[in-house]
Amino acid sequence: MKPPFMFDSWPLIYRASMLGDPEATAAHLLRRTTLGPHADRISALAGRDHDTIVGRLLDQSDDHTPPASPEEWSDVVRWWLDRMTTSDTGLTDRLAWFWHGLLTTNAWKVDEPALIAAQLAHLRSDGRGDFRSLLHGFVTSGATLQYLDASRSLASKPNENLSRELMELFTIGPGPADAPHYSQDDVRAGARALAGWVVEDGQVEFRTENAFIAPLLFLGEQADWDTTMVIDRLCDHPATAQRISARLWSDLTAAELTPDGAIELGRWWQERDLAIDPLVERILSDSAFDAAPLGRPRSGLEWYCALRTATDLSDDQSWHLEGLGQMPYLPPSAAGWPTGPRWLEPGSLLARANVVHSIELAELVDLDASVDDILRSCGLPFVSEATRQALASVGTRIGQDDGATLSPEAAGLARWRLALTCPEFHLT
Amino acid sequence: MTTSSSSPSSSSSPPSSNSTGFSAVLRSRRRFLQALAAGGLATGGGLAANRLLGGDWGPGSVGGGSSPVDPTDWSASGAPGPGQPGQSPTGRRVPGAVDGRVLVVVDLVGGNDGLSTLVPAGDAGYHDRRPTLAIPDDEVLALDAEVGLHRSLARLHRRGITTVEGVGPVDGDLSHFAMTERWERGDVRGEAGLRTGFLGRLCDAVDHGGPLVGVSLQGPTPHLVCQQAATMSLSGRNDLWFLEPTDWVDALAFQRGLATFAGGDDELAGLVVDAYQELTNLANGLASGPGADDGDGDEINWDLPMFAEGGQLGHDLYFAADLIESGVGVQVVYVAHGDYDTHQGHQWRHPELLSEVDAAVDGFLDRAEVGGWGDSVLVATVSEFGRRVQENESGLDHGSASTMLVAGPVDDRRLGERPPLNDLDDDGNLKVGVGFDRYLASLAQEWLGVEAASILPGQPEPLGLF
Repeated sequence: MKPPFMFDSWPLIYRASMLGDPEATAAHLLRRTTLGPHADRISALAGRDHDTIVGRLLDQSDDHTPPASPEEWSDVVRWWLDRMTTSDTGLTDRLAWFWHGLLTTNAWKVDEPALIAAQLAHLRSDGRGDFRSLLHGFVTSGATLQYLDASRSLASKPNENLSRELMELFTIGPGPADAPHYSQDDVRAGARALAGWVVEDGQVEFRTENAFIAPLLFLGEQADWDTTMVIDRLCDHPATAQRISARLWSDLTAAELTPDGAIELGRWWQERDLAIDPLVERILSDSAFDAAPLGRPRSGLEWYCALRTATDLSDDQSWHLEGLGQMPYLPPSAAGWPTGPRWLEPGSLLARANVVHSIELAELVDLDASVDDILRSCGLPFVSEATRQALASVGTRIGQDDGATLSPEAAGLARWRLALTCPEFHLT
Repeated sequence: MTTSSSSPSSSSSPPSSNSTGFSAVLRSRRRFLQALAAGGLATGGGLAANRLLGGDWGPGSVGGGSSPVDPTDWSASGAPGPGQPGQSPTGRRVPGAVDGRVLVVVDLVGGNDGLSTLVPAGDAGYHDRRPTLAIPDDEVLALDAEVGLHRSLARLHRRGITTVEGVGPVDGDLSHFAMTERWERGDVRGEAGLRTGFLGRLCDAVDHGGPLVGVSLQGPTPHLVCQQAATMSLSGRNDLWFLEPTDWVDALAFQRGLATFAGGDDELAGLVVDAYQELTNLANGLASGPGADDGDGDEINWDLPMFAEGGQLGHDLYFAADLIESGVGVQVVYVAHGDYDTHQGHQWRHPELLSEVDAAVDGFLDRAEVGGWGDSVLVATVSEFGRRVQENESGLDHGSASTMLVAGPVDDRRLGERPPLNDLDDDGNLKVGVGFDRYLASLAQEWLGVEAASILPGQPEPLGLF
């Protein structure tokens, strides 16, 4: 059987077990483009080729909406986690989650849970549309206006927070030190242009009397700047298309674009009016996507969703996400969560192992399951020989070494816990 | 008032780490080193160093301003500079440095307003520019005719602390992320291209091979990225229970399986395997260290309060004290507090934050004194920048210079340079009189006995903290 991946780039430790596995392509694609994923969804696509699976992912859509009048913001998060781990249209939530990591909001600074629900509804409904509308709806959502102190900002004494983060984080970025993309004067002018929004009793309104009605110099251009013009100007800037597309490219491929590659991808994306689904399709068809399966760490939430689908953990234990360092709507700062090897730092792995030891596995999973079945349930059709050994040797060595016997239940528990803490389960 | 004699004594150290007792400690940092070194060469693919430090932790930008510069400044300083990109200097100890001291860094995240912390109550310009947010005179604990501490810092005021004014980045900007990164790396100008954290380099310099030299109570942090010393984030000691030495076969089965995992030629799997080894070492260290709980109850000090004051910060410092007393060798602690980013609601948010710092730090130092290690621990604040002098509608936008607080065996006095309110920079911010590298130089050299020039670029001069 022809290896489905750029096989030569794979770490040796995985090659033997993935070679010829009919689920390898589906497992890799679903790991990166959905959350979880559930083992049944992988096996349903077993044997299909890359393009067929991608086509199916992009065809599916999801018109669910978060509860409109939640009592607490955590109700919204709970609803979202359920969608993330049970929805058949995983790409919608996978992208909404990606956008939430870029277009952040901290629930503690938002008065009304309904504002969180409304913002999430927008990230889900527009997260596969075009970036310009996504950004516009995000910036003018009540949750964002409150989070970044733009509600009640007065043109006479403008609050700079939203203006700065809009440029530094959400669009053009600071730029190189010798040719910065914007100055402090641009931050101040942007703040004036964005003034006028007021969030009151969960409603967003624009009060002209708070706004700046006169020409302003913003990014080198004198005009009567307002919120829409500012967002349009920033979305027209090539750096926005470059930064955002490169970020999604890294997230999906687990690699870094070269500077030239980022410019090229940005230009390509701008020509397509920042349409998101086509960008996803292009990235998934890039050879880099196949080059590094298990090539980046799972973040705290990605790992938790994988745990939920592997163990059918469905009751609400979302509070675990705080200990795992990635509760939705509680980012450490407006820059969102870290990515990369920091998720494999000892303290992070310790938090995960604690969750594995705290859930009632005995009530959730089949403790008599074989090693293969456990690995398959965990969405791990291919693992290193060492991992397989770690699970397979449970129940024999204890008795031999210590003369103590391990009950079959305890052996099953240990096997499951090892599967959920093995190196491969921390990777995607 | 803790002390009037300025030199802290070494007579009451915390239970020191017994380095021979931890001879089995794995030097697993090699993998991180490899990852770091690879970043100096790799473009695309692999583990770029900026994925460990900065880069995609922060906002990130294609063609952005964060690309590492060849650290020529560094080599010029005469320090044992990094020969190749991706390498980091090895800190030198100062002759006669006292071993076993602990530095606790409290990060006031978001940018703490120095003018509301150490209030220039005697300055008319202060009241002019803060018509609603100036701290009223009767809420200021006067230190002298010029300044006083905010009323929320009453306990620290009673204890006596050193304040350091006018501290900030040199030629900084107003971005949280860029300025935070400079503090993390100990890079006051943001030009040195360092790939380890300042606190991480301190850990390397004082490392005796203990299973835990530097600890973050705030999750993984770039501050502690280092080359060699064991550093990690922890949230509670009980987290390690299933890794502790045991005869219980159910737990043993898991522990042995964990030890069977192998990374082979995969870097990421290798990081996981190394991390499990470090955690196991720490669990063993905690179980055998001088502060280990052997079940007879002797470890419980009934003089201590049962609960920490000062909110989450108090809890974090309480756990830090547990770790310090456990004798695994902790010498650098990083805790974060707040959201000091008071664009809005400064008037009520800021005093609440300060009172938590007051209660948490004072309670922690009380406990250190009860435990007999009060003279061996120093608590120092950092914060990415201060805030704008002129208020906005209900808060304060990003600024530059701020005031740092140092508590422990220090004198009750003012250090640094008070920034004038009538001579602001172009953005209306206080001018930085003391580059933050000089402040860090003091913590490194004058407290932990690590030669400042060996771990900070540009040979910053310590401030004379003691």
